[in-house]
Amino acid sequence: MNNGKFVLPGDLVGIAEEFLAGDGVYEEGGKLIASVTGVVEIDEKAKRISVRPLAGVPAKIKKGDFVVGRVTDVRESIALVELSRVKPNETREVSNGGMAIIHISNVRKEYVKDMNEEFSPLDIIKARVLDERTLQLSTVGRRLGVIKSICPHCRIPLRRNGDALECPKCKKKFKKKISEDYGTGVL
Amino acid sequence: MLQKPERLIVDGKRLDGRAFDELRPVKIVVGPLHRADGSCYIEHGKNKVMAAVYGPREVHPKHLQEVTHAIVRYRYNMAPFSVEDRKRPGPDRRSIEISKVSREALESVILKEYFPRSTIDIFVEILQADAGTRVAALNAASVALADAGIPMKGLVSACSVGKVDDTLVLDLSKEEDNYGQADMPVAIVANTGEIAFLQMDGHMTQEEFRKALEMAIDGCKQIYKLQREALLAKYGGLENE
Repeated sequence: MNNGKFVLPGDLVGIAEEFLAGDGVYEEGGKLIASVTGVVEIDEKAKRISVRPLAGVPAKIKKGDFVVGRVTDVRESIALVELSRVKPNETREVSNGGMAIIHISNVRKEYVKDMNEEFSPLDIIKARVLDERTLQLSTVGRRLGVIKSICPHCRIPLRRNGDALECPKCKKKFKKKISEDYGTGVL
Repeated sequence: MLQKPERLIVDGKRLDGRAFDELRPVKIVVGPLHRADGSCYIEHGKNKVMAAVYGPREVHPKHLQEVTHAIVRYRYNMAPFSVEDRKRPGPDRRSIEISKVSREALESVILKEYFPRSTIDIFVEILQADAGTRVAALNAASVALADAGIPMKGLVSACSVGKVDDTLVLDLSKEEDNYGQADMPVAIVANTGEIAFLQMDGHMTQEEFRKALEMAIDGCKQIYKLQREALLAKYGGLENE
């Protein structure tokens, strides 16, 4: 088996004695078999053989990934977030999504006194995954935080004004953990 | 309506001029639908089948989800205009059964353990039916799954075989299906040769059954080659980038 060979699910790529099974490869009966459509990649140092997918890839959340979701509830020390997409696979629904949690200690670098000042329900946020099993998120970072928010009274999108958000109608101001990408449509 | 032909085999040839072990022409298009995660369109003789795959994604309703593996849902559906008389839309006894057996065939190859608490949804629409829709649907679904990048043990390839005028023939046509003596759709996992699916309708002797199964497996292998070529044509071009 050579590097860069095109394989389909079910194609033999190697023998268990020569390599470890990497991504896109599974082991059965001592054989290493491709499980996805793609090209073979061999890591000679780690003795690992994997298949780099060329067709679509299921969106699976891993530690360190950036995700987009909607805040559904804000409690005393946590905010609940319904996950929607994971970067860079934004066109596909996440497979291991669901309710994620931002703890008050993971909102920003500085001390946060009141969670309700940082997030409110219906905010669209961008966050980093701290743990994919328990779905713990963090918004520490300049590009992380709220990317869209609406005024709780007027129900219209808030506009960014310096480091705060302002309602264009009632002129009410909101602090919040704002992302640098607020209102730009950049995920 | 079809008239019952006097004989289904004339001068050692079938009504449409095919040899006994010859498939109808097959055309496979990978990824025609952009909204689906993976898709495939197949023309198998006069059959026209569209398959779409979504997922793995969150399960709704939630109580269906499994903690240890993904669930697979398969919907085989015939369009009202797919047959000569209008087909009453919606699932009926026949399509529910086909959905169930086809789902089980694909479940045997999908590596479901990689995606716990999620679902893989497969939708197959029969746009035009002309005998052998369940095998055409399975072929399309299997390519669509590969297009979606869902990890599998191998591609499922399916083909039917039957008996008409006391002769075994591969890939029955509409007349042969309606007026033949037996019909047996078979699906295999081409790489391992495992049988993923087998049904039979009608009567065959044990000897005929063995011969028929051999013919069907040969047919499936031909289908596998076509599926492979179609996927290579779509993705193999990127090989040298």
